[in-house]
Amino acid sequence: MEVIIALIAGILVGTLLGRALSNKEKNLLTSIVSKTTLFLTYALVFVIGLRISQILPDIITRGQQVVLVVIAFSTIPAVLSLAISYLTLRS
Amino acid sequence: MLKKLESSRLALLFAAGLITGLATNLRVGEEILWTTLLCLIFAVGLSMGLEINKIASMSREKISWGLKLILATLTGSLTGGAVIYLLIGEPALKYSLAISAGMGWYSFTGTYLASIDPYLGFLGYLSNILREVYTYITYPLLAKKLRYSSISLGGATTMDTTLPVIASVGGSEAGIIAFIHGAFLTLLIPIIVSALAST
Repeated sequence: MEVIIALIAGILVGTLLGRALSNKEKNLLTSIVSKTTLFLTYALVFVIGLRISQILPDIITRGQQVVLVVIAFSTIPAVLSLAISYLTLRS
Repeated sequence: MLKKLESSRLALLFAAGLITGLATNLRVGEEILWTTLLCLIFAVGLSMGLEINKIASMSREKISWGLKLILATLTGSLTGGAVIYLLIGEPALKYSLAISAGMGWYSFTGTYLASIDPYLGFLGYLSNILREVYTYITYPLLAKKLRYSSISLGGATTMDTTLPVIASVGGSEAGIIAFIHGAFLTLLIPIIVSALAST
């Protein structure tokens, strides 16, 4: 629920600011938001690494199975999306 | 939004987090993780709100193509999650669906699922970052044969990190459709992933 509230609040504030600010101010704000997003993404990627270090021995023990699961999760949804898009747009 | 992200830099940061965790036993509290994630979501919403006029000014035809692609990407990704569960049997169906519903947004999916279980976070992060990598590698080849359908491959990343590749290979029209596709998926992913994982 918090995730949805944060997203909607962001969109509302962004829309209101987009209307209230001049183009120059809007560009400046967009640049600041872009840099902030970049910083937060880097911070979260570091934290994910930190969290995963707790279960690294477990991942290593699982070995091949983990590799298989990661490959499946990265390829199957992408390939199916591509196939369904092709069929949808062709029709 | 995240054009400056480089896969190598992300890999280094991820490795730095792993090494720091192993070497120092440093732990990050749930509140800090959750607050940072909510700040990221708010910032993404803010940048979408600032660009809302850009989307509204796009032609109806391109919006319609973008919406069809969104539906197809969503259906394909969720079906993929269900297929993986049927084939491998792990993790639980709701988490399999949540991981595949990340559609390339690794920082959100990885962090959100890591707050439930670090192993799920690992799967959510790695499989979604790989989806972005596949898009970089295969889009130029696929776009020649499949045209706009190949935008689906990039999922949510088509509004930022993979947009330059799509626009340079597929042209400005593909770029506009990719932006609409990525923007709406970015809006939907937090809602779908959190709904699926919390059921």
